[in-house]
Amino acid sequence: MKRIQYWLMCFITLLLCSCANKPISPETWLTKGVKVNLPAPHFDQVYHDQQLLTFSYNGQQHSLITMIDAQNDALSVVGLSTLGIRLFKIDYYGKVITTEQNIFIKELPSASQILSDIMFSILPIEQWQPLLPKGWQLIDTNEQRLLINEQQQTVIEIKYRQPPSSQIRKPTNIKHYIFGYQIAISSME
Amino acid sequence: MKNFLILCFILPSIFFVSNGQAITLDELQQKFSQYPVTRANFTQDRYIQGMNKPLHSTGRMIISQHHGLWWQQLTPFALTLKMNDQRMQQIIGQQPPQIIRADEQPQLFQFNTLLAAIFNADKITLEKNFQLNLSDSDNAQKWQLILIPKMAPLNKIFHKITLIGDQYLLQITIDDKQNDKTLIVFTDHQTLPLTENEKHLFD
Repeated sequence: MKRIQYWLMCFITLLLCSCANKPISPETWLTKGVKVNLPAPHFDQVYHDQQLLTFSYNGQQHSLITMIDAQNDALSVVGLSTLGIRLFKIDYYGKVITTEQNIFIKELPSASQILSDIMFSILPIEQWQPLLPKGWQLIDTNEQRLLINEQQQTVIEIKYRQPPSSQIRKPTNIKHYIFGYQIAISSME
Repeated sequence: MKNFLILCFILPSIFFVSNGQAITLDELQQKFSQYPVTRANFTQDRYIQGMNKPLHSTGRMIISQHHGLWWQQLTPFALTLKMNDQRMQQIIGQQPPQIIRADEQPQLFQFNTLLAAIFNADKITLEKNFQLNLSDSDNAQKWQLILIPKMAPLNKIFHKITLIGDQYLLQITIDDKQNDKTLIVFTDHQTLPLTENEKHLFD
């Protein structure tokens, strides 16, 4: 399937549908059978990033731009096509997530999955650990963060350029072993 | 969105205008097809409502009346878009090219054709689809053309499109219905004919 036609079809799509503004549950799937609540956003520093995400799944690659703003109790994520066409905007404030889905592209992970991956990447592990299933662990090791299930299998592997510190690290790669996709992340700043 | 790509594709003729008295749409039209090739560098800032920083990109582009648009984004990542009335091709970094042909997406190209007709200074089409506000500065060195869509599909996408130019098109501002804003500034214009190497860029 030619990805470009989705980017380009925005012109048509915008004619046919209005933006969908809807609250979604602050939860995410870790595997096909394991769902957990997302932590409420809480940041003790301002975080901003613009990234080019390249998804690899089933031998195909699809790219997406994300813009991320995080401060205090608010996290905003905007997804754009590589041509700059807005695909979605997520605002997570307090306990409420509002998603504005402008264009849906089936080749890309859902907006909520992207939000989840971002939160796994940038939130302190202390905010995640209480929400994980019994026996699961989120571990920071040097330039890596691992989500490990109760059978000690790696579910998600996140890579960074820096070791852990008090500053939020920007991820460079996310690999989801259960869902089978990988995201290469290039910072655009 | 980069609707401006469409605009640029269909804007070659608007790159030149006269420096005479108060500019009229007719004068713009008369100048529209004089220069078959225009090159320029561009900077683009995409302001998303609610986000702190714009998405900033830079690159260069060539518009040829015969060959179409070649748009090369250099930063923050490499992206090349080639577009004519038959096909569009996008290349990101080292990834394989992605191509869409007019016969595969006739709706899309119909839409492109509509915009092309508008910006090729078809005065009738322009006035039919847009509320127009053409003005120039006191010394007539610069002009501004504000396009406010009057009907679908354009009025579902844009609040307004503002073009500013002097001898060349200098700036495009797109205010869209999502309350996002895109500002593209063109510099270092050149109008020499395409070189052989440049012609191959459109292949």
